[in-house]
Amino acid sequence: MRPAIRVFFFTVAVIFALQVIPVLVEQKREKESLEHGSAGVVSSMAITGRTLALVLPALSPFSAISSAVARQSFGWFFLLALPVLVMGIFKGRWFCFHLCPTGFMAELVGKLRPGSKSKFVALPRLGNALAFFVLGGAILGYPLFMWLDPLCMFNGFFSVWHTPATLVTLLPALGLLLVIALSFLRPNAWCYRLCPLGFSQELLGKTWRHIHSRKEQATTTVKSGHKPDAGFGRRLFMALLAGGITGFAARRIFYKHYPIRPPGAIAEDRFTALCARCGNCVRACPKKIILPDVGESGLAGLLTPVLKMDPDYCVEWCHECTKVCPTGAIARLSLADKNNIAIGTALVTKQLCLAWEKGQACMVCDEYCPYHSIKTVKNGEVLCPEVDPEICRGCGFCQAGCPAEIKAIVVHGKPQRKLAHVKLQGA
Amino acid sequence: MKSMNRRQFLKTTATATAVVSVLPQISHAVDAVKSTIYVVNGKDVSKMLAAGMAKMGGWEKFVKKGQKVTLKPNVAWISKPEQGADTDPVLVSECIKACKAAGASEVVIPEKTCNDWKQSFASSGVLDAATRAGGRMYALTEDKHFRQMDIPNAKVLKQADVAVDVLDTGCLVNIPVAKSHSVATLTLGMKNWMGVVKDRQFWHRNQLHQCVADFCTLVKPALTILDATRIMLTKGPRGPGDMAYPNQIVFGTDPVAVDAYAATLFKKEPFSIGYIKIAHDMGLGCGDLKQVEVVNIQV
Repeated sequence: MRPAIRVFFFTVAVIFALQVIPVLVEQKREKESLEHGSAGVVSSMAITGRTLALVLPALSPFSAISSAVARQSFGWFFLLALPVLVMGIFKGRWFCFHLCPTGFMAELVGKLRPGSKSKFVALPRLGNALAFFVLGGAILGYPLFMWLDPLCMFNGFFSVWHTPATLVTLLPALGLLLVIALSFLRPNAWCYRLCPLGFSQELLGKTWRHIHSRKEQATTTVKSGHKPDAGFGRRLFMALLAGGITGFAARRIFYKHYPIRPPGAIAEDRFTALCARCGNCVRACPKKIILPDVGESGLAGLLTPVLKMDPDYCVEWCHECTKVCPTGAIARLSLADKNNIAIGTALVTKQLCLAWEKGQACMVCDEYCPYHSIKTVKNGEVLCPEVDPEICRGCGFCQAGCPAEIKAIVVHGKPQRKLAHVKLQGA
Repeated sequence: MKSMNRRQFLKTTATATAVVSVLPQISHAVDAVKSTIYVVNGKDVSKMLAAGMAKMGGWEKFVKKGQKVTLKPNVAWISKPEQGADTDPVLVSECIKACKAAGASEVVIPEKTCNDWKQSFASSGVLDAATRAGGRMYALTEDKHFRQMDIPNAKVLKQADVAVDVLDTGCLVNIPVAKSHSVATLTLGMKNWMGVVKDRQFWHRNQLHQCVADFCTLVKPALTILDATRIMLTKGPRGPGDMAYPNQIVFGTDPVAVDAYAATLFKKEPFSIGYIKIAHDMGLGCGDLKQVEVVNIQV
């Protein structure tokens, strides 16, 4: 029975992670839309297609609780984690043994080396500490290491397989590969010693049984077993404290520079931890301008999504990335709300500008800007561009279209903020 | 270089002489008619098209039986038909139907959009209209859609990658929309050809107006049908801007004359638009409305 459930759920998980249904739905909708001449291929708020992508990573109660605590609010997708949460309380690691797709892969790889099956026992139980470390950080808004969630890693592995594939876009697949490599070297070590999701379920089960046995204790005599380890609670408290201190420090130390985040992203000092690196937003972007970051937002922001406005831009008819985040690092936004958020501001470098420097009739930035944020100023007889930061959304169409040899207008990141509504062409 | 200057000088002198000789006659009758354009006023686009083409000599004059016809509407932006950034879909579909009726083997509509092509094609309604009418509309997105061409008579744009369907066709018809433009002042017929080249950024780097005129030495449409049913007066080429409703469609074989007339709809002096002046001076057509016979038709 167990192998059957495993294989079945693994298959379902792969279908979700590969976003097979979203892609099919998308293609159908696009075809229909082109045929019927209606705009807004991806502008609907409806829970169809891509939105399904968040189901798999959102199943994890570990990341659901951590992110909800860190954001101090619940998203509707928290409901998705409830079944596994309840399962953990009553059945402990039942999810791990029957449903977890990462666990299934680790188990299979582990079986390749039957001789070293029990080598993991010597390793410390890091998962416990890890879960509490993350919770500690979450209380202070910075759940560091939440990305170790196995479902997010699994999702991240499958969501990278889309064109164009470069080294950078393939990097998020590394998490699951490392887990598999570890499982080959030390079978079972991931599941029984490291996995924070596994341990949070174990804890839920233990806590429940603990409360239960106490009740029994009150009425009947003591049963043997279920005795909490000495020092167990203290160690976890230390982990909680360490997580809190790290989170507190991280939020204050690292964030001087703002990379361009997807619209609706939570403030930068929480984003790098709240992002589970599940790869959904990278995959969802129809223009492929969301890329996993390497370097721009520092070590803490490794593989978090950043926007590159070259060769394309954050289009005004799309808010797909805001629909697929399982941890709420990117808030769910309507198309109008998304278009009113400035994700950055464009700046003109006059020394590179064809109009300012070479006196050419260019102004492509003005031509392209969907929000008409380019002010035309006269430099002698030549029309030259200037950006109005109160209108500019940082969408990057100007940057994508700039014909200068070196881009003369470039979007710079800054804390996201809401701007006054602008009526758009075609809306 | 020297000979160029002389040619220019001679032309300018000739034009000046012509202008001076016309000046004393204060009359609506055009003296030396170099071009004739037909301006059809009305509300029903299909009737206007039929009336205009009847004056032009009928579609059969331009479309030979079994030939391929290429239409070039302006569908560069995500815009609704009434917002006037793209050519009216009804005008496009009526042209396709008429070409088919005149015996065209196929009607192709290539376009290189500025916005996402799927969004632009869909929101403008042109793809839907064109497909229904039996035309084949597609976006110029791949390298194989273009062929490199030398432009011997050009001053700046000596070489360009041009859409193959624009070059190899039996009959080329330009169906632009008239609207304001942030840098070129106005987008009319001649500037519409920017939508069939691969690298239009080159144009912006190197004297846009001269490039527009240069390109017209290579690509010469048999017919220009300019959509001025509604015109975007401000915030073009993309909009949304202030609108005006001349309710006109302009027909002509001389692209410069059509553009020159259309400029007056925006209350602009034709020669204040750089590319009209340059094209006129290069002898690509007549931009001087005093030498253009404008025939008004009411439908």
